[in-house]
Amino acid sequence: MLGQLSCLSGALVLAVAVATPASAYMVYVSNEKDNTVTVVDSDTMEVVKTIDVGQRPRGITISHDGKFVYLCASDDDTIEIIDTATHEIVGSLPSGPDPELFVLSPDGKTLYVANEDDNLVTVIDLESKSVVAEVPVGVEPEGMGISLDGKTMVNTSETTNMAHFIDTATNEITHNVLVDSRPRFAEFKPDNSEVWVSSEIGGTVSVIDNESREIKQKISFEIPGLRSEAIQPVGVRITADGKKAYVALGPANRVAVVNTETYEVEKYVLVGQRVWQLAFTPDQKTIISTNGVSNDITFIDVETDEPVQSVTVGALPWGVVVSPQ
Amino acid sequence: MRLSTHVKACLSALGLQGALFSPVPAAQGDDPEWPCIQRKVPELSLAQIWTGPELPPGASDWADNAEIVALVAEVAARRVPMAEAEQKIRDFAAKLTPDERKAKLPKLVKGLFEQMNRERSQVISGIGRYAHKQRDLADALRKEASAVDALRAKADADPNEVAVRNDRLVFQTRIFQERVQSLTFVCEVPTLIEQRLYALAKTISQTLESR
Repeated sequence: MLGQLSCLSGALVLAVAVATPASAYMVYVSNEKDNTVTVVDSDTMEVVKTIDVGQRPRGITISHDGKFVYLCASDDDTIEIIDTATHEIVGSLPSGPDPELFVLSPDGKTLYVANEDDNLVTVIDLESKSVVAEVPVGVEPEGMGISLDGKTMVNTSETTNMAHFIDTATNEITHNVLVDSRPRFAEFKPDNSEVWVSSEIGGTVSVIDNESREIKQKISFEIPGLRSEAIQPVGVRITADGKKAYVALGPANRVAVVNTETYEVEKYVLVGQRVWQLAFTPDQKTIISTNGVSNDITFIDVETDEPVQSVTVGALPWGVVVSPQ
Repeated sequence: MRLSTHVKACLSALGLQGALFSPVPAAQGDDPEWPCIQRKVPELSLAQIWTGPELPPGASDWADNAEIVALVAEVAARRVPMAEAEQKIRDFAAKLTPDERKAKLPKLVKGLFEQMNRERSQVISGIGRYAHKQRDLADALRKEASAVDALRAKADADPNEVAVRNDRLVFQTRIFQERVQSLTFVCEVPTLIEQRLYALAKTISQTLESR
């Protein structure tokens, strides 16, 4: 009897293992124009589900335990909470008007939200679902990055052209760094030594030294046969080992792969039209780009930097996040 | 009296005092007059849309081939649904021998690129003219609103003239407002052309690969 049971449980374990291979993650993509979130299996690279959400979904992130996806429904002035088990909207957060992009603190307890319309960063405590602070920043705040120790948050303001460094203990701005026109995204290097800020119209990425809070390097992009106006850097992601950075270049339809030691662009990967945001799978083997105009996402192999496959999602894919398991 | 107040409220709501055209600020690119949120990219580059093998020099002679010219015109037109346009390309390729395909499909790519890029550039200069006209219209409306106010302030003003000019002002303000709304859609047109061109080029690339 006992033998039968253990045999049965062994079979069950096997069945579960077959159903969910270790490398399968769920990829969540916000589609700005048709008000949906597309769920894609990273293993089969197929669409699993399309979830109807609020108006103009843009920023998207996931809780550390993978149970909830948080989504900025910009035109509904709210952040929606999606249960990843049922794919239902189970609640909302008080985001302030026009939330565009946000970042989750490394301890998973606090959400920092950029409110594009009222020039504020709203700090939300996830447990109590309440606003704990509002930090006035520059005009049209957008990009949000946080250091791995959670002590420093960087917000970029599109019109003021600044990266604002905010001390998360006091929720006050400690430094303002002027960058090129229309800064879109801020990403900390995993060792906290640098912050990379992309400028969509300036066409550059400013590397800011996190100690001196000064720009130590400016990266520009040149693609043979392509007009410079088409090169518009937006999303930035740096590998966990800190060696490579990926920069989405908007209507250049490419992702640049940058060596973080030399700051040289090593490769331009052609993906789809208007490349916007990027996300790694947790095993760091794949990086996924959202391509807004061609309405697809592209899986790029991190080892070879070759595009593996494109998957059609909803209209105007904007943000992307991958489940932790 | 109330009408004039309405016009003033309208003008102010439309941002005649400050930002002119839309609630979103225009892209601060190379052209300060550019009214769209999207950054102005005056022309496309082939590298933005073509992912297949390098086009042979002969591809530039596409305009000498009547068959290619006709197909370019047919599939480039936005009124033709995408699925239909893609099928036309596949049907065209299916009739060719492998050698003909190698010679003619690059011509088709080049033809579509040049034709749709030209069309897109025309739209872009059209948007520039639109913005310019809108600025002039805003200026004229502002002046007329002050003039109507001044007229009304006069004790001996002809009530008929005040009413006629007020009506005209309301009407012109409405036109201006409708044009503000249209601009959002007009600004999307270059992207729509780009999207179609990319999809057509992708179909040609797949047709080349699959043979």
